[in-house]
Amino acid sequence: MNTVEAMAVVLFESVHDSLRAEDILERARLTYRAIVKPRELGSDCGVAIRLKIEDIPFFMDLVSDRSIQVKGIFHQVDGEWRQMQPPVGG
Amino acid sequence: MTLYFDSAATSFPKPPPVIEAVTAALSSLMGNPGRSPGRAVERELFRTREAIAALFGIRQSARIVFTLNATSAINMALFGLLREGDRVITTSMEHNAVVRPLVRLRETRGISVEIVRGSDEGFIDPSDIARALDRPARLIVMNHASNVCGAWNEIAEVGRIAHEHDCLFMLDASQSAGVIPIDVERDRIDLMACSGHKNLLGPSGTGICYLAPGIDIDPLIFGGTGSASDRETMPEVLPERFEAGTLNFHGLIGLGAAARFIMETGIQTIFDAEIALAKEMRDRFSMIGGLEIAGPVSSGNRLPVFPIRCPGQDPAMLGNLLDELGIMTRTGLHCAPWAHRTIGTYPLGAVRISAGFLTPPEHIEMLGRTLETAVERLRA
Repeated sequence: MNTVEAMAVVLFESVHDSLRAEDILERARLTYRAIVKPRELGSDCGVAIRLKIEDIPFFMDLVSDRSIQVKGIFHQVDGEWRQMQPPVGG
Repeated sequence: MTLYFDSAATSFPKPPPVIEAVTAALSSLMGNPGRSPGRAVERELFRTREAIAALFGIRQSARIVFTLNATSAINMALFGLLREGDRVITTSMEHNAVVRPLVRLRETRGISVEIVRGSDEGFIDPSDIARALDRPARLIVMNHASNVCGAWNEIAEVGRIAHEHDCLFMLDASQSAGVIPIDVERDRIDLMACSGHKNLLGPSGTGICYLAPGIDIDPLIFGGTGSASDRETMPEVLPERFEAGTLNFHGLIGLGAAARFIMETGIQTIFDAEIALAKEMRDRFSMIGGLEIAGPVSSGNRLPVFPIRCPGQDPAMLGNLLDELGIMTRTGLHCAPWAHRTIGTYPLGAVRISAGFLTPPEHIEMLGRTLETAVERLRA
């Protein structure tokens, strides 16, 4: 697995939820980057958050009790996007 | 030197952090919310939403929609909510921002509107609202404080009555937001409209519309949101559903700074200061012979907003003279003819003198002296 593959991309149900997630990530001092959602993951030109795969469990703990709706978490394996985590929250 | 006494129209001066935030946004903040790489603007707007949410006890800041002003918020709410045949209860103290949309909806959608009459002082008796609910109604819409005379109502009782009758409660908080503590859950508010540039102390061109969880209305404005662009319909999620088009983000960043200023100062501190200011102004005005003050007699339930007149004279005479003497006020009907009818100042209206939390205290004394001079001249 190369460096890119060690990263996960988190999609949200709304821009607002992605901003709330960013706020939580900053407070938790986790390294992340807001990115334009890769086209393969949807054609709605939304924003996604990229962070290390190893930080995903901690991230999910942080957002799970804040009613942030995560649409899905994806990572690339051999150039293909695969879903790591089904939608949660709501 | 001009003394500013038109705070009910828009607050002046603005807190220094607001000026600094807008200046910084204009000079160094790049991008357009939802439409530019990087998310500095979105994050600033998120901060504003969170600050507004904290101020009003709103748990989900996504339920706060940014608007241009209270009028656009009220239009969004009323046109988005009301349907053919709905019955609406409102009051005789409303601003045209509520009156005109309701009249239009009566003409175009056949809603019925029942008007609960306020007292001569401008207060609404919640028991009159309860009586109006002897038949089912979809919505109660009323202001918290009058833009004409500063009379403010205990809204928690209205919220309770509304919910007991399975009726929605919409508050026009244009004059009260930033001064009178509001908690949307305690006060049982389903929809709320506020302007950002009055007592919220933000820049003009800003406002909010709050929709409680479960309140589902149609958008009034359609267009790009920077999200879900592959769809030809508006997104379902808030706030984007109601925020088509580029927001006044420079102004809204200033509004966020204003909300934080209010939180840091303390809403109760601001409230106590404004009630004391209203009492001081009333005491000074009462000493001036030949001056008639309309609205509340006592100061406890009055914000510092005073419609004044010299009996038998056109208020425009007094307003113009004050203008010449360097006092900025607002003369006329203040976009609220119903309210002037209620407190007995229709059709001529009044000179409205209004102050706010940041009105310099020494200006009050200068106002009193100038007003005395003006009245003496008019009576001569």
